[in-house]
Amino acid sequence: MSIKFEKVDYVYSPGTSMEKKGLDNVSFEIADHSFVALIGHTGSGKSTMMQHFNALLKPSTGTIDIAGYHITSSTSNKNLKNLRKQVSLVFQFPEAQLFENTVLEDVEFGPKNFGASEVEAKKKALKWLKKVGLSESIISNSPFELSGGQMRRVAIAGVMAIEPQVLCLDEPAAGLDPRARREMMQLFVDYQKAGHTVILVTHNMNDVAEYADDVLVMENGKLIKHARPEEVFADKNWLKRHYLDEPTPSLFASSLSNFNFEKNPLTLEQLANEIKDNLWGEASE
Amino acid sequence: MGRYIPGNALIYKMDPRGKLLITILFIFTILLANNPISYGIITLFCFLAVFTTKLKVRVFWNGVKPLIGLIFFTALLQLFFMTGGKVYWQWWIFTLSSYGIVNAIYIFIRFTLIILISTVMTVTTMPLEIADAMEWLLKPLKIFKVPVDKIALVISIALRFVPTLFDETFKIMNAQRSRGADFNDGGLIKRAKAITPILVPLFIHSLETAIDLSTAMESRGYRGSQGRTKYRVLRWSKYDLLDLAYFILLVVLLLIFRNH
Amino acid sequence: MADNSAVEFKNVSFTYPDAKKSVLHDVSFRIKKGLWTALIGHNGSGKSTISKLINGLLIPDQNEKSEIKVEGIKLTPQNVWNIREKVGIVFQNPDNQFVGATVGDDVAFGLENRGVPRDQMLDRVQRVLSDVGMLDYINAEPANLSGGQKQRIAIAGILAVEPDVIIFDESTSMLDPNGREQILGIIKKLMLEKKLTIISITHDIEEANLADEVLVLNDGQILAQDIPAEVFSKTEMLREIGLDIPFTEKLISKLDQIGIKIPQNVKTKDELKQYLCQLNLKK
Repeated sequence: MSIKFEKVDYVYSPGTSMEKKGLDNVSFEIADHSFVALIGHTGSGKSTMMQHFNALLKPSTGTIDIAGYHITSSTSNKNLKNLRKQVSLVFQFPEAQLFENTVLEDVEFGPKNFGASEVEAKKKALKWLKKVGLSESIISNSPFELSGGQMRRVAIAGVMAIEPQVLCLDEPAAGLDPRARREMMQLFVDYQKAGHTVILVTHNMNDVAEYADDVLVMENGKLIKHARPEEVFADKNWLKRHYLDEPTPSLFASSLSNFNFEKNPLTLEQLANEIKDNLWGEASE
Repeated sequence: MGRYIPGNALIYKMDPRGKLLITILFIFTILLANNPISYGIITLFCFLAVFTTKLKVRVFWNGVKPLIGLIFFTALLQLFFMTGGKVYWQWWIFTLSSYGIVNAIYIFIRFTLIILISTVMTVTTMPLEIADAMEWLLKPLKIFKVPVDKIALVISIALRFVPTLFDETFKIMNAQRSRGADFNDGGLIKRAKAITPILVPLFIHSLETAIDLSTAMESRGYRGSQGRTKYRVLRWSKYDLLDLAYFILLVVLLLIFRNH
Repeated sequence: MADNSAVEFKNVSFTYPDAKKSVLHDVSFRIKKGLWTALIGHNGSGKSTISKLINGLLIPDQNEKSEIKVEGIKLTPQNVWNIREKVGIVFQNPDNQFVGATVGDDVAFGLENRGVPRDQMLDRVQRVLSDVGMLDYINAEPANLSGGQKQRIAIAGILAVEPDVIIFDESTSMLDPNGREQILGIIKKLMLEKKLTIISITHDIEEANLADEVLVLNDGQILAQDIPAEVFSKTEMLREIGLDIPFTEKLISKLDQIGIKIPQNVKTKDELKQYLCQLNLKK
């Protein structure tokens, strides 16, 4: 049940003067249970692609296979519910989707829409509220009384409570405190480890280096690279040409002129170890 | 009516005040027409205006389409209830008379012309320019202590936030769809219920925007319209003589050819 | 005393209406003229409250010892509009501070409010738009601009009224890296060319690292005020209050863990680079 795009084109406002290609001949396949990073500049087609994952947008041409669905331009809008149960999206600043009277009800909204009973929905809601780090004392508060960070957690719990096979998140940690940010990212890693696919749309190359095992790079609606992070960050000239940042550790490494790095260090851990190898020689280990 | 479509025809270069004023006057001028020739003249002038936009016919058809039912309904009322002249047919309260037929046609033409001329105005003038023109037209109301400047600022801010609000609405709809909300299924009550998850966030968003915006405005020194100068000014140009000439010619022709 | 502070707080407390606890407790600090000061702290630490107090959008709790001075002038309800001449704020949300229907209109907004004659207005709008590199967009509508571009317009709108102090209140937090870089670039340029006092409120530690001075706020109190290298070497303190530590400090402590001791006097990124390269030569 991998995710497969085959020659997908998506055209915005076809036939008008505003016509624009959102996706341009995009083909790729990602393996189940991987942690995928989707990167590229604003307007590169990341969010257009994201909306194809659960058929909020359908390809103008080409096909998508996801969660047992085969999606083409002629796929009907009906019967997509099961797809959306399997593939969930968390949009940027998801706190904007809160609307219920209480935190608990808001988190129950998704599960209930997808057919969970009252009891089940409540059980799931409580479970995920706890997992995102919210205390049970706030569950009957209005979501609008909470702090921005707490609202974000409620919104993310509201999607994760659906327990989808594929979870796609657009900059879920933007604007959060560093601590909250780390906790959030760990939550997604755990979710992947538990046997789900996680797709992270991000600008943060350190997160890509740290968490992803597969990277999709978009530019002007085209998929310009699909590779493991080591490979994506290996060619520094290529990155520069496409105005993409390097992870901070690899940037620092390249400024250590008389060091000889066997592997381009992408994380802090790797960088520290490579520095040690350089200074003490590998034999000393 | 329609949304602004960018273009570079002559009519785009005309001052919005002139366009707005003449659009309004044109609508009143239609009342001057009272015989086939005068209706023919004003129709011709209206098509002339449509023609000068250099836009596709579809744009204007889209303007008329939503109101077509209303136009026919009104024309039918005239057709079957108006009495006078020769009676062709009568049943219960319905009468088909020569007056009725003529009036139905006139009503049909009037309505269509009003919509067409308003469409010409709205597709060739940016909403913001229309707001500026309205401010200018309303200026005399200042003597009655109507806060015209404030109203104008409110309108311009409202116009500026329309696209933002649209984006936000789509975003919220997509987010709720992803959580399994269904906006197209079920009966009226179910659909009305389904819209709460959109309306509440949208309301909250608008409220936050309003609070942020007022904070920003205050911090940028806004303290009411007193003593404010204006960045945006409208200037008459030679092109504005064209629409004036167009209108005067129309009125003169109508006055000559209408029944006295 | 020659006053070289752009902003001065003395014993300032602030409590939001209906709140049980105050967000600022008896805070005193000075922000030096012509420098870039970064105000850091986690969400809810009271950072943004400070920016709104500086230009009188909020009024401190009643206390006779309490005093806020901007450019040497004590802020009172009477002179709040004069203070707002001296202080401009670039807020967080790029959309919610864009008042005008087009770029030109928005930049002119502050000038219109101050009754600046139109011919001067046109000049200044042009000038500040070219300062932020947006002159080509003078007739653009906000819907067609990116977040970073909208923030550049916000900066231009503030530059137009020629304030002494510009506060960046989380102005980069909603932007992508590209937009953030543009804004930081403009801040640096302003520092050099216009001798403005810059206060940036942020929880982006790398952004704070660019400043001349860092003021650390936690739960409504000032924890530290010093040059970035000093503040960020207190890694324990930063961790405790939930802030990130800059990359350099992270690397130093990581190296420390695996047995490479870095001397105390090595603090900045460049110092660390140099030190490591020398170390590598000696081996």
